[in-house]
Amino acid sequence: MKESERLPVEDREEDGRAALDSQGLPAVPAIEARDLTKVFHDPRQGDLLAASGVCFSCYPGEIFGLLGPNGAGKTTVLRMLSTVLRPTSGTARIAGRDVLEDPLGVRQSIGYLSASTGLYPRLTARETLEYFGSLHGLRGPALKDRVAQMLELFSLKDFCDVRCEKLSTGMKQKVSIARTMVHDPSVLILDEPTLGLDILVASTMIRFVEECRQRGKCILFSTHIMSEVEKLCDRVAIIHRGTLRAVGSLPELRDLTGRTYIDDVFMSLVEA
Amino acid sequence: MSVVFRKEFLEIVRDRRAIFFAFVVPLLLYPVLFISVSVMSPTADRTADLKVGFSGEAVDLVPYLDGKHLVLEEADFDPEAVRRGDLDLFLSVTPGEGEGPDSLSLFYAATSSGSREARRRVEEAVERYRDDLLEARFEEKGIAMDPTRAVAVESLDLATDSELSDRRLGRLLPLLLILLLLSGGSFAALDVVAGEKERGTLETLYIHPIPRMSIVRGKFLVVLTVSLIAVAFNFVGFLIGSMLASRLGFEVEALGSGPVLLPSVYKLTLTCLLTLPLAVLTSSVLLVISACSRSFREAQAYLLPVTLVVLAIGLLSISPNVTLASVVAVVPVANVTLAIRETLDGTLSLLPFAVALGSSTLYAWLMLRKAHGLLQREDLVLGVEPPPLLADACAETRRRRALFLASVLILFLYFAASWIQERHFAMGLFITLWGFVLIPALLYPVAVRIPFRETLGLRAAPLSSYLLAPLIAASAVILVNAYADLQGEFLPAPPGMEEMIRDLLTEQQLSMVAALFLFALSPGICEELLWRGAFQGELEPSRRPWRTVLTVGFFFGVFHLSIYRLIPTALVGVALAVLRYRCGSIFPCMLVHTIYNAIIFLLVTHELDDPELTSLLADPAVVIGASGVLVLCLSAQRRSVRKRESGRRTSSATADLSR
Repeated sequence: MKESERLPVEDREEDGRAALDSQGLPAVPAIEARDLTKVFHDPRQGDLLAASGVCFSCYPGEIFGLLGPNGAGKTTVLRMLSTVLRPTSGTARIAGRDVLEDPLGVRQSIGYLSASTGLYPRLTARETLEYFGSLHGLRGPALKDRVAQMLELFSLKDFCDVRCEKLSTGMKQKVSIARTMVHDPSVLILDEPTLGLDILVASTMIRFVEECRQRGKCILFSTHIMSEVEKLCDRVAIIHRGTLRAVGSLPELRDLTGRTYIDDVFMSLVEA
Repeated sequence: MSVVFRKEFLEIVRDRRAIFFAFVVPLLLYPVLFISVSVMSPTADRTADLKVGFSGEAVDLVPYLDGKHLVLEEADFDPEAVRRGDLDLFLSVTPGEGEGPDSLSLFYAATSSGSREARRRVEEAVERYRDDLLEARFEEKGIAMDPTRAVAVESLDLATDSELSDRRLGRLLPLLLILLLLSGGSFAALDVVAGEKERGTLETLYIHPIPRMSIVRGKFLVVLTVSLIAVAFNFVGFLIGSMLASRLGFEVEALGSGPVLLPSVYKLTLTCLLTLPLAVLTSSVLLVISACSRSFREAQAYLLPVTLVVLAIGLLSISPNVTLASVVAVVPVANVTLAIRETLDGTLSLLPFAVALGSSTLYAWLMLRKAHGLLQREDLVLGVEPPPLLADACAETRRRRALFLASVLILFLYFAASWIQERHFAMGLFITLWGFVLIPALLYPVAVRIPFRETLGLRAAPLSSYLLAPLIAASAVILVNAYADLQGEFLPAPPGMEEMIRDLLTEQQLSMVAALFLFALSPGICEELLWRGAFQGELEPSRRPWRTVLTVGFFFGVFHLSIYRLIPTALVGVALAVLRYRCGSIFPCMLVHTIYNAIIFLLVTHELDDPELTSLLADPAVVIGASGVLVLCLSAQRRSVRKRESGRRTSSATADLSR
């Protein structure tokens, strides 16, 4: 049995309490990771275990935080879920589609954003959105309408014909978010999306995440910033050295560790 | 795919640098280049006044120098004035003794274009002076004859302007094509993969619902399109430049006289047909480089050596002795460049053309597949760990990689080493061994990121391995000699071959030390590092020792590029491969190889092949004895290594206990 499965928080999830939708019907998890393991082969250092037996589920209308220090394996897990990396073993289902069997279907259902995500410098904001919309199969008036909607939503109309290389960091981040949402995905995977952003841009990002939850989207959110977890996440998974140490809501994790502050909760789980 | 293509192309054409270098520069560069080269070339100095000093005895010649824009100064004999730059040329005449002819010396400096031009003008004058002098002497002897009318020579060029133009184009275009395809496509290739990795957009692209193959194809098509557009613009710029220079009366030495004309539709079609697979190949190579790099800058660093290698192969197209036949038709790049040259010359025949087109299409397809494969790899997409250019740790892949690269190297040496050694044997051999053989051997483990010392076998061997080296070398000489006698029965060497080799070795006039360095020590070091080092080190992980040593031996035989030496050298190669395998070190192999070559060199150059020695070497008892010695020596290597290893284990155990 995996370490994370031994934890009481994971058992609680198994009983289905959290797995009910707003009408009281059992909800299908939007993200379901099953024993995700990733081994990288390094010619000099040999095999590196980046993620080992990671299991968790996230539901529509939920913000699920993946909390861990740098190098814990957060990005690797998110990349496996977004089909950029192929798991060495285990699998995952996103919006009912298996990452191994139907990667194109999975990609259709997700919006992925990370701190390292860049934009094409010589495309304008509008062209960027049109390009990624086209990659999602949007064409003609449907594409134009959707792009116009995104530009409106993210207050980008005044800058939509400016090349991305000339936009400010905040505007670039807005374009990136709009790009993530252009095909209206049901699942958002956000890998440390506020990393390196100033307070204003970071709060725009946080507002956007909260709005997505209100619209019933499932948001998987990785971070190592404790305040963001406290502010945003319905449930949290603590990951360290590639393995999940605990999964649950903040009160549950506090109960489990007997600590009050999130930093202490985190430290006690990591050092356990 | 079309969505990716459109977006990538839009981004490229929006880049001012790309537009400027790919499209604007070619249209401006060639006219400016041709005119400036023409202006700066010595032909532009033909009306300039040049200073010529002459000594008193040259007075008779002076009238002939009139009207040649030469400022004449009578001076004391002082040729150094030319070196100092005071004069462009110094002319001195030494009167002949008795009836002997006068001796005329022209002192000039080849480093100065003015001095060269002065020499040309004076030589023209001397020609006329000589004719007049000869005519006068005929008259003195009562022979009424104009010596210039003895034979009337009239040269009539049957080649048309178009044919001359095609020939000139055939010399220039292939190399230009390689450079343009690589440089034209490089910006696009580096930007669409390495640049995207650097900007963090490639990962984003890969999480969108389109097959990765479509992404790769879209990117590849952009690189190909930009390469071809750059070639087209350059070609147009080249033609315009040539025509403009010709119209304005500027002559470029490299282009010959007259403009370069557009080839016929037929030749142009064939050239385009041949260019296409070459463009696919270069575009795929560029994508591979880009895929293997983490950043734009890293990709640029890889680009230069690759361009040089491709250009070196393409240089075959300007070598007058190489034609598109047999093996050349399957050499990547060279086959296409030669085919284009022969197309423009009008000498291309169907079969080599078909082979060149077919093989280059195959190489292009293989390289494209490699690019596809690399861009599917998650480590490359994410830039997690850049793989070596030729990466794969699998033993079977390493074996295939080693065989492929060894074949390419042998093909390269076939042309490069032959060409260079024909010009100067000793220097050519030195460059071949220390350049073409040693450098690839040392670079190979670094390029493919395999352990350097372990692969090359650079580790100490037991003393006995060195002590037994002379015995191994001597036994090998006896066995190879016996085999050579046997081979003579069914594959006799051409008559005079032995003498030719002897002459080749002796006519170099090297001291004994220098000769032994060149013919014994250099091959001992360089060839061993290549064949028993890098090549065998790459094959050994397959854990099939016999297949490994036989393969090493065979390739070592082929490497000597002679059907008569194939099996003898292969046998030596096998013995050395066994030695490397048994003792795990390259150093005893180097010693054996050096001693073996030294013995052969002494036998050949000192004609020690007297009948007694020959019969002794061919004696069955001696041959059997040598075989036994060789087997024993090689077996002893194994024992000594085992002893050493067991010794190490013992000392290690002792150390553990002491702790």
